[in-house]
Amino acid sequence: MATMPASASDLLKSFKLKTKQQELLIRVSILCLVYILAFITRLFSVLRYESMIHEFDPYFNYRTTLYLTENGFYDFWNWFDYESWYPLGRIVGGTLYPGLMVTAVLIYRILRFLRFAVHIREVCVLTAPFFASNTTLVAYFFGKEIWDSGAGLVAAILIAVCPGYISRSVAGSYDNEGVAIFALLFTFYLFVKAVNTGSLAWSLASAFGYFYMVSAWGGYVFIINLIPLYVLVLLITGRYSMRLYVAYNCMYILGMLLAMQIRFVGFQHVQSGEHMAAMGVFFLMQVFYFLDWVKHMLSDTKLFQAFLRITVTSAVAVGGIALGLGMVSGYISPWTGRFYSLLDPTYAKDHIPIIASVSEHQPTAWSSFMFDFHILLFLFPAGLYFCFKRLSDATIFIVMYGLTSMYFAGVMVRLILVATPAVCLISAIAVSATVKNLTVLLRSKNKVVQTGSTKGSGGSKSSSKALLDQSQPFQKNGAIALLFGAFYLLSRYATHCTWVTSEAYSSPSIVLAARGAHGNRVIFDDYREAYFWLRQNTPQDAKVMSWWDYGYQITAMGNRTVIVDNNTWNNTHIATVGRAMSSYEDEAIEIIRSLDVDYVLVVFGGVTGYSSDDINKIGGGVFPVIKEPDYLVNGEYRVDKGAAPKMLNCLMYKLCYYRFGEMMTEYGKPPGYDRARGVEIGNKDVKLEHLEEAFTTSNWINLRKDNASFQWCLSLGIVDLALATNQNFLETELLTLFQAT
Amino acid sequence: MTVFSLVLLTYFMVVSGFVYDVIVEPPGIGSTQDPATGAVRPVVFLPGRVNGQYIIEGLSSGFMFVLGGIGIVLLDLALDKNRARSVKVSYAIAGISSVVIAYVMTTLFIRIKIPGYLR
Repeated sequence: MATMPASASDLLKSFKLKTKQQELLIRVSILCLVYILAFITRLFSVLRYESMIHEFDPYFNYRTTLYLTENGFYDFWNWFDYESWYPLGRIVGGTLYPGLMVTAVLIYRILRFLRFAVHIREVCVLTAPFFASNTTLVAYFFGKEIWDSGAGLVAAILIAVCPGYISRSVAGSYDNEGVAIFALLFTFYLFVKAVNTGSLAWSLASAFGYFYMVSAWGGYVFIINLIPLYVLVLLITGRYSMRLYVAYNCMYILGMLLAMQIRFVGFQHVQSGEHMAAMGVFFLMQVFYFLDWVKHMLSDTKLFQAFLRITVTSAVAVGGIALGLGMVSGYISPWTGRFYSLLDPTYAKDHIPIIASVSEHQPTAWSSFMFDFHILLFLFPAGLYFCFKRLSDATIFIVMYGLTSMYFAGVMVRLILVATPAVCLISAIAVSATVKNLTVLLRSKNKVVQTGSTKGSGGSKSSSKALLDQSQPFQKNGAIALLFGAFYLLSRYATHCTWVTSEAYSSPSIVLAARGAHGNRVIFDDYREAYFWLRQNTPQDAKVMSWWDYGYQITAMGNRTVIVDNNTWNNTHIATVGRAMSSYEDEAIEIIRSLDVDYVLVVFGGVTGYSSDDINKIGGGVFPVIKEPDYLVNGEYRVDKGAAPKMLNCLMYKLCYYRFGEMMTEYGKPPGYDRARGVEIGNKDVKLEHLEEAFTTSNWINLRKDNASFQWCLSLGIVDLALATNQNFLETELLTLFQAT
Repeated sequence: MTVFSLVLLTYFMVVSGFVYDVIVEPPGIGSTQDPATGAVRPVVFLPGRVNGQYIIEGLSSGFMFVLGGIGIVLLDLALDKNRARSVKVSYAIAGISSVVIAYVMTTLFIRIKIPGYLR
């Protein structure tokens, strides 16, 4: 009888863990939960609709991945695609970043090897959430490197649900950024680890991490400029060390050589102005090493100071002359427009309208920041304060990463994605430091009370301790209250993130949803309906002309040749299409015939308002025949009776409003009422001479039958509608196909 | 210290949408006409889109974010051992009130701006 309780307590004792093991268990279980959370929070659209690819660019990536699985890497690397940009074609192998496709096919092959018979589309759809989960792990290790493991855990949690990252890595968003953010954070972590340890192995790993990043996304230019800037700051603040020397040299040289293996990048690391900062800092490092060696050899400090001054001035002079010679001779190309517009935001608006027209490239308003970051915006300055309090090589890096990426995020909405890991890490430092302060307050007071009661020696001591004891419960309660406050804020953050993910970032864009009068959800699947019709009812070699937004989707789903697509590498070709859309029908048919086009596809629901704006800007830039003022009345676009005659008769207007004049769209309004712009259209009797209507998708019919008052978002055009991921809410579309006779 | 205040100033400008103001040049404050009386009423928050603002709404939101950040910094200063007790208490109160005000105002702003928020 006596042995029974003894064995039970012995059993319990054998299960009871030491504190260190308890801590490890807690950490591992938190990381596992965060890993699963990061994956499942991105699955909203798969659960609501089905497992399909979203948006426009992912369809091109999907098509190339299909080609890679079917034909192998050698054929993929040397692929010339004749189905897009007719009649020019496209050299696919040399104009894309292969990292994403190769990764997806690798995962596919591994799963197949393990006898999981998955389709490549499933792998493509779920690649981004998988890599988001991996990013949380990297964030944990990075946080541990910068501050401590508590900050690492908080960073992992914050980045798992942060909407800034989720927006580009939902399931179905099969785009470069899904993999690239993982590669970015991984490269930065490896480099900071290399600088902290000075080990050659970590530097080598960071070079390979950089290679993966270069293969994945064009945003690698950020890495190759941030790291030299960081090294420069370290050199200026007097933190030169052998560790830094080893880390940067190894990473730069090996990384550069590896990056040249990607054909799209080619020799840019030695030829392009955007990469010259890295080279300059590389040479500066050699100068520093040389100076350090001379200082070691010399014993006379005065002589060394003079030598230092001479060497530094001559080094800078030689560097400047070399750079100047390179730029003047044309060997070193200047900054490309895409990246130059980040430094000078007004540049794109005046010179490159096609970049300025994309809604993702607009500057950021405060509400976008709030939407994507929520309370992290408070924690970021606090985290910067803590980093400044405890400066080290690693915290200097994260401060620089945070500040530069936040500036770029302010310039362009899309770059909030790049800023997200930095903001999450710095906020995690703030959270971790504050919580640590508060819990130290809680626990230390307990100890003082205990020692005061157990020792009790000396009257004065005990009385002073008694005085302290009186204020301690108050402080303890205060600390508990503050901890609850912090917990409340973090829970609000989680709620906000889940709501944003569910409502704003889980729309596939190719399937649209709206709310009917009774609050029921109505689905519009017009895009896929039209592409499938194209695939099944047109001849194999038919060529389709549309605005460039839809190019990738038409080639991937409709399997037909297109004239222009989202790659937008040839402005003149796009301008030709724009000119055709905005001219009178007789002029347009000449252009259409010269391009050998069989079908013209237009999207109606918001076309002639804003996108004509861009068509005219781009068309007018190349062909001075098109003048935007011809289409305007008093400086604004109108489609009703008071519109300009050129607008009422251009091809785009006629194709969109063909047979629209006899339709009743809303109860109580005259026929031909355009619900997107809220006016009755001006030219109701549209007659087409050279084109005939081939197919109109089903929502033409739905509109006529349903008298319910839909809520409308004033969508300003194809460009805004198609590319703005924030504004999915309440728009409807219908697609019309016209056939050229 | 100076570096940190410069950093805070830059952060304030970026987060208020300064670049947006320079490029898009929105008005300082919007206006709408009251349909019944015909009087012109000011509109502080640009309705309809997430990525759009008037200048004043951007600046006030940016100020709230910086206020929240400073509140947390004050809280950390309040927990520092080497100060007089009264200073610590005042820092703590200032810090807590800053964070609370900043959070409440920001939530209010976003609720006005996006009508369907959290529904």
